[in-house]
Amino acid sequence: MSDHTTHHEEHHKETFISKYVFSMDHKMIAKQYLITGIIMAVIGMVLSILFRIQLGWPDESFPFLEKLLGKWAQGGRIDPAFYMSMVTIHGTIMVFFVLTAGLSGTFSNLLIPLQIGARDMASPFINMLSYWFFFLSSVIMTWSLLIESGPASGGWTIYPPLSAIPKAMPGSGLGMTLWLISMAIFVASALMGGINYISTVLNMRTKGMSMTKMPLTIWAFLLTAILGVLSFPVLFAGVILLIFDRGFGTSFYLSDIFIGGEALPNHGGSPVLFQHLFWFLGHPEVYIIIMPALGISSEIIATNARKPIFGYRAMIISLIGIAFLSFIVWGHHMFITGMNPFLGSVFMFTTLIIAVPSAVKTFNYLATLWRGNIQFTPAMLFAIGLVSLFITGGLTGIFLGNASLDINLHDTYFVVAHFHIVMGSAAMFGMFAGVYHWYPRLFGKMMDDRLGYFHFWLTFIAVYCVFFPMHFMGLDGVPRRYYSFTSFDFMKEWLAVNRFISIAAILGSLAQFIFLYNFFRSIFKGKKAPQNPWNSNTLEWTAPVEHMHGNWPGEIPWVYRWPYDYSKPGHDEDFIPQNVPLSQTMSSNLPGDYGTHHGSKESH
Amino acid sequence: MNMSIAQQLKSSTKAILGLVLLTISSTASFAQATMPAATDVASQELGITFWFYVLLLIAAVFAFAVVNKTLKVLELTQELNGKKIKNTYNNVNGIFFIVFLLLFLAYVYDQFNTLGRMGLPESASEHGAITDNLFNITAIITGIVFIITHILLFYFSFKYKGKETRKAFFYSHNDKLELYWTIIPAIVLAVMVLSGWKAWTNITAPAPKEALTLDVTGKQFAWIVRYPGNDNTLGSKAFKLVNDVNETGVDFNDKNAKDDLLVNEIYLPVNRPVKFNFNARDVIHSAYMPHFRAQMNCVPGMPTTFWFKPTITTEQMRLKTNDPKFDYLLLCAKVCGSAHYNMQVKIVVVNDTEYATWLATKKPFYTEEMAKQIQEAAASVAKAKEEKLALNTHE
Repeated sequence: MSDHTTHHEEHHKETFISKYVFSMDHKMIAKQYLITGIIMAVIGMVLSILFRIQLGWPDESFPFLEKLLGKWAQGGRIDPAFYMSMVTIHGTIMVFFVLTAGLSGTFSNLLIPLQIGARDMASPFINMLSYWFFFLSSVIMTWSLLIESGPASGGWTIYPPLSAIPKAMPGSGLGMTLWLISMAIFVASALMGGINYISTVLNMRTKGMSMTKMPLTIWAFLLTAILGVLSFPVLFAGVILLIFDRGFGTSFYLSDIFIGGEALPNHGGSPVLFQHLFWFLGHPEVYIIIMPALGISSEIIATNARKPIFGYRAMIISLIGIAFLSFIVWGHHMFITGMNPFLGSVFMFTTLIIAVPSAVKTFNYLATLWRGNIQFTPAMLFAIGLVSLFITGGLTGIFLGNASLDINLHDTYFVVAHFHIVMGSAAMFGMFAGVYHWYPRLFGKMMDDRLGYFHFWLTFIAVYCVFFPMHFMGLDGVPRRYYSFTSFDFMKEWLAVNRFISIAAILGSLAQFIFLYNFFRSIFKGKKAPQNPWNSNTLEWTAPVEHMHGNWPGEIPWVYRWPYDYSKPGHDEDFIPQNVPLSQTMSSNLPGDYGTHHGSKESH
Repeated sequence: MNMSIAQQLKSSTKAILGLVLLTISSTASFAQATMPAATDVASQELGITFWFYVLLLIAAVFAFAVVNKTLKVLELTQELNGKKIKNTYNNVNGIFFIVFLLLFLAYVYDQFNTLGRMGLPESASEHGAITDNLFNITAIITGIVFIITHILLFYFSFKYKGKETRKAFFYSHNDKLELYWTIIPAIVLAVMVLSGWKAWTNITAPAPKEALTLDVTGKQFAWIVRYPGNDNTLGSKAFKLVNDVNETGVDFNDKNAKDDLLVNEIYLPVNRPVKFNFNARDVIHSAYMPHFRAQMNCVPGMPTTFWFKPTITTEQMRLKTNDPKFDYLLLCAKVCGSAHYNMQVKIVVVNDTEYATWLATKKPFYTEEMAKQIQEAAASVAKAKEEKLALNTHE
């Protein structure tokens, strides 16, 4: 293997373009993903602030909006069509571009080779292509904000016929076309990434790194990639059929429609078919978002509690359980679409089962914290925040998964509260935790801890101020995606609450500037990172701080133990890295450590 | 330490302060711009709350700068004394978690007490009472889990905050414990699934025969409601017959259609099941009747249905809610276009005699005059289509 490295060094002359732009190095690609993700997150955040202004002050006019948005905010009031566009693009950007590509793309790329002990990804070239496809789709999606007829506006779920008929609303014209093109490219990117992650994890682990010695991050990334590879093609198919319906006069999703003064010739299609295809991706998608965050938090909580993650095997089994079950729960998004009620019963059953592995994970996190020696790094704070949000949002899922309760909660603000907490904020917290924790590995510098603390506390409080009240709006029957709540008498009482939410959202987004400042400043002015700043066990901290092709200068380290030997009795230090042979730690070895098969692994 | 404030605030703090001030000043100018228009009481109140929040923000930024500075000083002095700052940060954050826990529980309690009371009034339908009950049971169970897990999470964070002198307890797994906390949630969830499933099958069972059947069609952006008339049978319809006059495409050659009524408000007799036949003529809508805990999507090309039994008249509900203007509503809950936020129909639940009186005042939609108008409208649709085709061939 060391031959391989020298081979690399001899033949690889680095230019600016090959190092920073068309890089095939997984660490550089991770940085590219992260920074693109951050830019997209800022766009998504700004959009959310704009529509929060509309919801908080529906009758006010703000001249700056007209300056900013031009014809979409004439007289300083946001246009209803553009409101819908902003909601749509906010959702699309956050779900796909930030929390799928930004989160999974960054950390899978950075950590998979480093934590399993590989020189790079299985196919660095496809890895590079994956990023550039993502970049292209980001550009198209952002560009669609600027076109004359406005971006797509039928909600991020783009249900036809609304999205299929350009006459149905302004955003269903060119904006929708760009959305579909962007998503098709995005799917290609996700697939190239996913195949790479899977093949790297399965084939390129260093000697001694058996599947049950892998850190939970890697398990999470592997299962996420499998979910993506199996479900994204279905969205792709759905998108292609929609493009056919829009452009070539087919009727996959269209039937019996009278719009714009004429009856359309389409006959025999079903809009519900699209919903099935969409949610067959859409539901695994929320686990594609949350699972890497859970993997990251498992790793960070164990490292900073200075304790083994509680129930390593149970954590893996629950991840596998979630991954499997996530494929057979999509129908809970469709209880009231007119789907056969019996199917509703089935999906209700599978949906509530998926709560069990999620509960197991939560209890394991709590047990890991118990009697730990918790080091509150900013990453640890965000990981604990993630657990809190995962509990809060997960519990409201039990209401929504129950078909008979969903009748009254479907498409209300209760749903908005639920998924923004459990998958939006929780996954975002996982991303923040990951950035704070692996920043030394990404940039070789340390971020400022104090600013990290401020960032966490402000964000954590803001999240609960913004999303918690929305549950109660939902319980009052306030539907989501409403441009204003002034047309209905019974919704007017929520105006004050909406204003509170908007202010909390604005303050919360200001707090994100602390992060941005800290992030970009530390790249240049941060303290130089030590070799292993968090006294962690995993392999990535054995690689040199300065990035190099092939990750390790000499031989790849061998692995002798699981990654969670923290505070092992009989050992002086409170951590034993994975590459320390058992022969060097005779005083702390347990009988199970010598097992050759992994039933005995667990007797740690 | 007798530096001026300007020196005290180092570049990092300055940058953030500047950023926040920039935001404040810009928002302040928007507020000023809107102030002259503030003539009614509501806008004046807005002005006050706005400045209140601006002051709050300034205070927060100031506090932020002070705390940040203090921490930095602390860090330096501790470094000089050879102590580790890590312990201090662990203590501070640990205490923050316990404070957060208390504030958070108080906040949640307060929200339940204030916002929780702003929810829907008691269910006005028979099945709604059952689902409300189910909701409450679920809320109690999840509430208990929510409180216990949060207390444990934040208490552990506080109790086991790091100290240099302590070592964590090496405890990697306990299969028995895993088994307990797999099986107990599984049993609880199974009970919920079974009760939910029972309610769901009852709600989605076919409507009783004596049910009043209504036809509700969604279009951008209104609802069209059709009553069956004296024969209690709705006439058939087809989307190809839709035009400006015959908005849902009712086939008036069908004799059942001749006495159908079109109404602007839905009147329902109390305690009689009502079955809605839902349909949409352009895009998907969702007929949501929150007070009856009823919702069903309206899909073009795919008829859907939902039935329920109203149990409380509008008058009774007005007394119960102590709101003389209270009305039941049908609204759209599935995004359907720019004016999605305003698609409403009033529902009035009355007793049988009042219903009969109301019904007697309604005249069938189809008259000879109407027949003529429908023909004209159909002709103009056909003509438009022909012209379009002609244009296509010309191209």
